[in-house]
Amino acid sequence: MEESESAPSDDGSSYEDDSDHDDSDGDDGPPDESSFTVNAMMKLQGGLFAPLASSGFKPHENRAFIESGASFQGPPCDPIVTPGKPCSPMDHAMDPGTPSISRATLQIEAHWDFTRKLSLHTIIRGARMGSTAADERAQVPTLLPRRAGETDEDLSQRRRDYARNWVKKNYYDRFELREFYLDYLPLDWLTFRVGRQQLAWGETGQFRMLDVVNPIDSSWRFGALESFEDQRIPLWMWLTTIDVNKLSGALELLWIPGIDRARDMVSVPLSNFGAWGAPYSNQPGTYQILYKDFKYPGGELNGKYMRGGFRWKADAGDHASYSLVYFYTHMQSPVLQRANYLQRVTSDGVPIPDNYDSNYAQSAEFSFPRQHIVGGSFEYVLDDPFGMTLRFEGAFEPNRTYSQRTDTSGLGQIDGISYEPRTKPVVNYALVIQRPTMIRFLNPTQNFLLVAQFMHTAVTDLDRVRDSDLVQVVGYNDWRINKNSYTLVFFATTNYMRGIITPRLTAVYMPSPYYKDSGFVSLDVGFRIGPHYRLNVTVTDFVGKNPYRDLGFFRDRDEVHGSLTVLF
Amino acid sequence: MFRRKFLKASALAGVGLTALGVGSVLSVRAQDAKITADNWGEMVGFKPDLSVLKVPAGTVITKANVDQVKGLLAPGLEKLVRKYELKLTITDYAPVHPSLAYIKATNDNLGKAKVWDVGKDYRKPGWTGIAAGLPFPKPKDGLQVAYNFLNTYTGDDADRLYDVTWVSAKSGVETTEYWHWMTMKTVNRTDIDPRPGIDQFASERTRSASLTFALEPYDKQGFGALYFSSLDPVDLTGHVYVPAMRRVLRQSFGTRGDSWNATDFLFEDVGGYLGAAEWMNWKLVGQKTMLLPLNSGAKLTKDVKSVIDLDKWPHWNPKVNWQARPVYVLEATPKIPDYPYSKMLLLVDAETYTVVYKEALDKKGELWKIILSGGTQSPDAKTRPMVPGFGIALDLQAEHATTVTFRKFTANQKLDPNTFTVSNLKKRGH
Repeated sequence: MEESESAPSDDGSSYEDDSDHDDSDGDDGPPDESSFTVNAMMKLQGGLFAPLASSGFKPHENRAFIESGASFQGPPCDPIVTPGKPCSPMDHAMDPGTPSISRATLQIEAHWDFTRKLSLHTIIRGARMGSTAADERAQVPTLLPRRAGETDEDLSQRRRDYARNWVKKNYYDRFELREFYLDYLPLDWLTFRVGRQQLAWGETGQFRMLDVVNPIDSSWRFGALESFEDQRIPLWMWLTTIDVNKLSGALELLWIPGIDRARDMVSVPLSNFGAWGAPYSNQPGTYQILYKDFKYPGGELNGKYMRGGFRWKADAGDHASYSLVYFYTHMQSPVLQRANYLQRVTSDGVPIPDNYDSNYAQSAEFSFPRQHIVGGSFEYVLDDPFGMTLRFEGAFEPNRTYSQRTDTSGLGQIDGISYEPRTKPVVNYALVIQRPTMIRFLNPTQNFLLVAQFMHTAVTDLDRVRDSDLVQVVGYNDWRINKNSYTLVFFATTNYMRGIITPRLTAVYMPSPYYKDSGFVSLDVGFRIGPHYRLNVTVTDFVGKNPYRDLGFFRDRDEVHGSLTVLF
Repeated sequence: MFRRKFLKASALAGVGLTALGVGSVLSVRAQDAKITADNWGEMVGFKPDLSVLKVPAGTVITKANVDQVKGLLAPGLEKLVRKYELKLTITDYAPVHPSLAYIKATNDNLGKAKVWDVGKDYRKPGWTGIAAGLPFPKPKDGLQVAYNFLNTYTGDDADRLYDVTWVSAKSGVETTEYWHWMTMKTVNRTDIDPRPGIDQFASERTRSASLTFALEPYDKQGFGALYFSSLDPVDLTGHVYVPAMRRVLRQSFGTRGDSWNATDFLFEDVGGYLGAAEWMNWKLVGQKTMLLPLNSGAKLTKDVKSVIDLDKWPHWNPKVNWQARPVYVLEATPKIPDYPYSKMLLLVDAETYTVVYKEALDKKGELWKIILSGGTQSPDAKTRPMVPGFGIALDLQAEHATTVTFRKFTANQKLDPNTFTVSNLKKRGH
């Protein structure tokens, strides 16, 4: 054998078996060749509300009473008939066995690699949901006025029917182009991703401090129990990525023109739907709002709707990574600006000048103010014997806007109330410890992934007296802003029988030095049934002594949930 | 018990332990003579004794005639033949050598490498002077064999598309996944520029870079991992892309005996042994001629059944060729506490220095797993490595296996080092 060095051919050495290789379907060609792939999945979900251990397996009662003053509890009332003072709910339970969700989802995902430099990705999703009894209690934007001679029972039923239909029409039956974007790599270090897409910044799992680019729609289920990928509302964006390999990093420049449907530019308000939505407030305002006028920031190409930002993410050595983020956006939840009283009319329907009914607001105007978010993250891997990953993520919001309470605040005028929402600097940060750990007596062959997270939110210049009129969520008047809020999360997962059975345990605890603690524990067990079927059974137990604060909102919504996913 | 049987089998075959003195003499001889492609096998290892094989090429060994190859099979393999219907199609021995550039580097760097047992300090490097090429032709002891297979010739980069299949003896195929895996040596490169190392990885003492991601099924699609192995005996470091989160996260990878992707493979089982040499106590039990599926003839194909007999019980048997190979029998006992294997017995091919076969014992000393793999001849051995054929991790106690078969393989294709970046991991994950 002659011994001489010969260089490999320029195209590398492909050892492909030509007799077997067929590029026509594209599924076995290398990714740098033209290829086309289509995948799909169908998911069926169903769930029931069922009081669990924290509730002593006994249901909470759904009760509301006429209230006058701090101590007087009068006769029962229906908050759907009187969504305002003096009717104050005490609790908001659903009966055991009430459906929490019934949902069918079909998702098709296609990817074309036209060349190494150009590809197209798209996801289409259709979903149908069954109405739930809880949807009758959704606080939809329009409150039907009482008809002449209509009884409370009839009014309540009409509003319930309307709310149920409104929720179904607006949120439950969907057919949407979730993602549709083009990737173009004109240079080795330059990439453009243009189109409707999701973009996740930040490194922590359960919190969205820097993951603020896409709004959230958690209308179908409690958000923490569904993946953010499914909940994010994709937006049309232009993302430019500049790789700087000498610094082991990449710079992402983001521009959101704001041309999406206006209401998609912000997160879906929790009050807009039922089973997993916000309940009627226990401290309602003094007037009933007939129409909530959300001034959504989007829907046309206009500078005031545009958003933009950047992220620099890089490695710092072989054990550490960091990122720096800035994003200029809008508040994702609404801020109350003004309530316009209902103008009284004559019997002929002619408006009476300067004569308003302060029991009703013809409209309430909600805005989504501008907001800056700046932050960063840091990850570090500790080698053996620690063998863990540490993560830090922090965000500073210099101007997060808070609404005033609706029962005692605002500048009263003859025709309405003007509110003065105020901005506060807010600091959020989270610490995460993640460790794959062998616990051999529980699982001799597969590690447990253990994750512990701690999050702290501080409203830095909050004055307990001066700012006592500011609330965390508009309409929930006794939910004042906390100067400090804490959240603890624990997550553990492993798998048995080589991935056939995958249990996941999630526990969230929100200690409250001011009010009552709350949290939930969720156990999900996934079963892989052959290559194409996935079955999940989830039991979630919510705890919370106060039903109108933090996760106490959901204390009556302990759930047993199942899903079957078919992969194509 | 099992270990004693294995050692006894080696002794009965007339192969004594490699005496220290003999090894030294052989090392001197290797340094004196130039290693070439033609004499590669005998210069870096030893010639197989083909006279021990009493059956002609073409013979199919089954449980009916397995006694004809007694002594040429590891005990675990013999058990697979007798109990699990494994059939061995015998082919003629064919020598294998690495690329000419790797051979040249072996000659150039002969005698530079030194290794030592680090004892309990298994996180401290136990080597110096290891450069491109095979560090220890004619290895003197188990530690040198270990460094040989950790530095063996695999080309300077490689790109693979492969199927992973979970099979049970009771129920057959459980599920399948389809993956893409790219690797790149970052030091001791011999075949393609930049040689011998890539500067951008030098400061981190990176040995190699890997980028892998799932292509199918849908619920796994897009999951990817970017990780780097070190020249030092530390854990892998890297990142994962989690499609459900649309995020790249830094990750501490399981290299302390965790299974890979819920399969029968531990991370370190990939390629026979993927861990650091310092993590084990190595003992050279002997050298002998044995039957192994090197030059297996396994095709690159998406038809897994053409390589693995998925239809017939026990659903994991490979349909490949076997030939008499020169083999170093190596014993490894872990220094790492709570390592799942109490002992490993490795058959290292003395030409390719690949771990073609491994038996892993559980804490009780009972045979637990068998790791078997077999490549096929390179289409151009002067410049490119062997083609991967198949891999099997078999859990004999659970009667369960994971098989890996390949659809496509390319090597030395001058992968861009910037392929192995976090940014690229994210882009590929969609």
